[in-house]
Amino acid sequence: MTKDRKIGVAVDFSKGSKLALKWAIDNLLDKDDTLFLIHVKPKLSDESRNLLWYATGSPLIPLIEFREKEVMKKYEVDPDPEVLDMVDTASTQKEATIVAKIYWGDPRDKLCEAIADLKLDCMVMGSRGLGTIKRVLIGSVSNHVMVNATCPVTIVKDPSHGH
Amino acid sequence: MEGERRIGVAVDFSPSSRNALKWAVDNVVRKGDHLILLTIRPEGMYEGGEMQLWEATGSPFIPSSDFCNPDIMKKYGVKPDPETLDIATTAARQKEVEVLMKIFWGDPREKLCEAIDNIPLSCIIVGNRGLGKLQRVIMGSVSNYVVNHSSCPVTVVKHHD
Repeated sequence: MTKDRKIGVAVDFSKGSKLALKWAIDNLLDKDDTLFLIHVKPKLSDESRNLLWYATGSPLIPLIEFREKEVMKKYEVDPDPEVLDMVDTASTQKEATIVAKIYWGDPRDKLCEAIADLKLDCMVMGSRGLGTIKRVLIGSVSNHVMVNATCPVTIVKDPSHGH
Repeated sequence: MEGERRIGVAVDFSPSSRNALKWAVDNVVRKGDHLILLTIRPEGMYEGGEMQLWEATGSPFIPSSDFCNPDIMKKYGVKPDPETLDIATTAARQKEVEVLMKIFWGDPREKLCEAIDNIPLSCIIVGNRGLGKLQRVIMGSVSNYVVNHSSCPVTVVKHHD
């Protein structure tokens, strides 16, 4: 197995992204790998506080920090308990490093940027996020990342969506 | 940790599919898994009588000892390239996995999705472009179709040339 890999998972706290996270942990993550949880928030019209991180995204946030509600409050992200539970277990069982990074802007662009910035070896994402159009087979973000990413991309389907 | 998984790789012996196979072996395949190479031949290219038997369901699973044998493969009308075979056999040895090939006849889009459901596969890895004439596209029509219609996770491995 290739060692010390950097595996990215796009997380928007939708059911689909949780499935993707679970799949990445169960099927890809191994000892000494680093799992990057990438969360993209919409760009705020009120720029004052976040200006610092707008361009480059937040600094890398280690697991011990992003489980703290107080820490995440300053990024305006509410850590989902299910997600925290999954990564906690993964961190101990797999002996892998878990970090999070938050970006602001369009998820299509930011996810592709993340891959380049963080030099990710691969990216895992759900097929559909929180978007309103539920009829499509694959959401526009997954589709865009798959076509434009420079690394292998895994799309994890939501089994409740029939085809 | 998962139990025994069936990992499928779409193989058309193009550089892109070799890349996909290599990636799958290096990153996904673990000891105890089944690595299944899926090859789709155009419909109607029947070399002998047996193929018609397998039109609906695909060929039986072909073990690595057989798919490395050109005489046996001739019967199926498939000519695997040596590099792909090498990646597969090395994987079998080093990762201690069973590597099998399954051949289907028909439209690759449909047959790959059928394979996913019928085998069934835990996940499938595809290249982004095969042997098609249009080499300028970023993503081929088969990879695109499989990602959209597959019932299991799909990984697209890009080949940059």
